[in-house]
Amino acid sequence: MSVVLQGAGGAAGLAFGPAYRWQRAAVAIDPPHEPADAALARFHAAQRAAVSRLRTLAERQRAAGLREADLFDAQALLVEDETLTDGVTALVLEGKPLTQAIQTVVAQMQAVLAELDDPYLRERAADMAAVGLELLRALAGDHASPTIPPGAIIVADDLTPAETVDLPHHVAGFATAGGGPTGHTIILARARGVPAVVGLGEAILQVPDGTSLLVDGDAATVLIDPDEAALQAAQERMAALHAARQRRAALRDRPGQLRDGRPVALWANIGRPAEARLAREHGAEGVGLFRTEFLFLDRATPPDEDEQYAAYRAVLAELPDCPIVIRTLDIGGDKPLPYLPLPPEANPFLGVRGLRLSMQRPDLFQTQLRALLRAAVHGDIWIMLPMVTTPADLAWARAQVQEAAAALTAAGVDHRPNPPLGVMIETPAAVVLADQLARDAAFFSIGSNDLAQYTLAVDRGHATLAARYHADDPAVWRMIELAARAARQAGIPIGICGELGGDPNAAPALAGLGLDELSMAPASIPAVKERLAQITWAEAQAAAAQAVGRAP
Amino acid sequence: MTEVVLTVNNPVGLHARPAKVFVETVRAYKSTVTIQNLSRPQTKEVPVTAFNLLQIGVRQGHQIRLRASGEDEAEVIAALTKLVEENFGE
Repeated sequence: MSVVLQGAGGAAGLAFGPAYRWQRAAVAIDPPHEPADAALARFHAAQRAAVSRLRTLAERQRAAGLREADLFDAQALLVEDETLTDGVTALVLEGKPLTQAIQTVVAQMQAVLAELDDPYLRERAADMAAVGLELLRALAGDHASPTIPPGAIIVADDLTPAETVDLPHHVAGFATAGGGPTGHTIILARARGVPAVVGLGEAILQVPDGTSLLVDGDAATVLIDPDEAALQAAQERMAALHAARQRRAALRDRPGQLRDGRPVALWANIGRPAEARLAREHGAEGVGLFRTEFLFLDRATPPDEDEQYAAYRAVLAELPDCPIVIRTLDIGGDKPLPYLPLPPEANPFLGVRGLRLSMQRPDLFQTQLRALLRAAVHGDIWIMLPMVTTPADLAWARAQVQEAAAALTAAGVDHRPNPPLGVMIETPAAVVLADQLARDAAFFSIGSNDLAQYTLAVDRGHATLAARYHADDPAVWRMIELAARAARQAGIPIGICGELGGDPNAAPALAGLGLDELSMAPASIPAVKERLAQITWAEAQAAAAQAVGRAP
Repeated sequence: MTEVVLTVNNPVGLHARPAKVFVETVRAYKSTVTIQNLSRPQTKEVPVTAFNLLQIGVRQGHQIRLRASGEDEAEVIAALTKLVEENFGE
C-alpha cells in the first residue's frame, strides 16, 4: 500500500526511482594508541584537503553565477579557524582520539552560535556542522563517492551544501528528513534542476533500499510504493513535462515569432552580469532590462565609473550583437543607501525615486552615464530611464547625456555620444503623454508592475487590498494599449519588462497590442516562446481585444 | 601594544567577504591581534579568527577595539584600519 509523506519544501519536478539510502563515507577509524603528533598531522592534512575542496566548489558555483559561492568560502575559512584548531589540538594532546576530538569541538562551537541573539548568526551554526562533516570526510581519505545506481532517489537525513552539489549527475532526485524550504540544500537542488523534497521527518529514513519512491517537488511530497494508478498518473505527467522541455529546447535557437511568422522578440531581464549567460542559454535575443541596482546596494560608497564600465562590458561580452537595455539607477526612499541619505517620506512610491533621484544627485547620474557611453562603443547599449512622468524629465536626461559625452570628448576618452535613450512607461502620466514622449524617446518599455500599482492605486504588498492588484486588469491593459499606439504612430519600438511580460497567458494579448519585444526572467522565455508560436496574428489581436474589454 | 577603536560602516558588518579579508590580513602578519565589539558589551575581547568574528557579531555601525602585540603590531593595525575605513574596498 502506498504512503504519502509531506515535506517542508521542494525543488520542482517529478522523479521516480528506487530509494538509495545515502551514507556519509564511513568515518575514518582512528588507529589505536595513535601518537598525538601523528594524529595532528592527519588533522592538518584533512584541513588542507577540506579547504581545497570547498574553495573548488566555491569557484564552480561562482562560475555558474550562483550566490551560494560565498557560503563555501565562509566554510573554508572556518575549517582553518584557530578556535577549532586549538580546541582539537588540546584534546588530542590530552589523549582523545582525533575523530572524537573534532566532533566534540565542532559541537561546542555550534552550540555557541546556536545561542546567540542574532538570527543571522544562529543560522551560521549549520555552517559549523557542515564544516565538521567536511573535515571528517577529508579524514576518511578521498574515497570515490559510493557507487550510486543511476536513476536512484537519494534518501538521507540531511545533505550539506557541498554534498548536494557533489551528488553524481545521474541521481534522479532526493528526499531528506531534515532541511527547510529556504535552506541552501533546496536552493542548490533547484539550481541543479533536480527534483527534491526536504523536511520529510524521520519516517523517510525507515524506507528500505530499493523501495519505489515518487518524489513530487512541486507538491513537496514523497509517495512510498506508489500503486499502479498513482504511478501511471505520475508517468503521464513526467512524459508531458519531458515532452514540453524537448519541444521548448527545440525552439531555443529560433527567434520569437507568431505561427504566421510575425516577429515578437523575446528578451531577458537580468540583475547581474553573471545572469547574462542564463539569458543566452534560454535563447534570449537581447536584454530588455538590466537592473543596475546591484552595483549600488550593500556598500558604503557609490561605484566609480570604471567599476560600472566593467559590469556593462561583462554583459556585452556574454551577449555580443544583442541589444542590451540598461536601466539607470532605480531606487527610492524605501531603500536608502549609506552614501545617499534620503529623508524619510510619508509615501516613498510617490516620492523621490528613479530618475527623480538622479535629478537630485546629478553627480551619480553623470558617473553612470559616462560609464554607459564608454561601454556603448563595444556593443548595442540602450539607456532606459525609470520613473519618467513628463517630457521635461526626458529632456533633462538628454541634456545630461550630452553633458557626459562632452566631458568624455574633452578628456579624449573613447565613447558613443548618442546611444538610444528610452523611457520606462510605468506611470499613468507617461501613458497619457506617450505621444509627446514618443517624439523624443528612442523606445518605450512598459514597467507593468509599477504601472498596475499606480493605475489601480493599490499597493501590491498591501495586507488586505493586494487581492485588488491584478497586472492584467482591463485598466492596465488599456494603459498598455495607449502607450503601444503612441509608439506605433511615432515609429519607435515598444516592449514590456514587468512580470506580465513573462506570463505565457498574457503573451498573446501583448503581441496583439503590437508590442515588439517581451522581456522576462530568462527561465520564462521557453514557455512564452512556445505559446506565441501557437497563435496567429489574428488570434493575438482577438486576445488583445478581450484583454482591454472590447471583445465583440 | 598598539590599539585602535574603529567604527565598521560597511553594510554586512564583519561577516562574509569582509570577515574573510579581515582574517586573511591578520594571518599575513606575525603579531597577535585581538578584537572586542564595544557595541555588544556582553561579548569578550577575543583573538581575531573566523569563528570569533561570528561570535561577537559585528554589524554595520558597531564600534570595535583592536589590539595587537608583536614585532609588526603597528603595521597590522595600520592595515586593518585601512580595511575598515575603506569599507573593505566595497
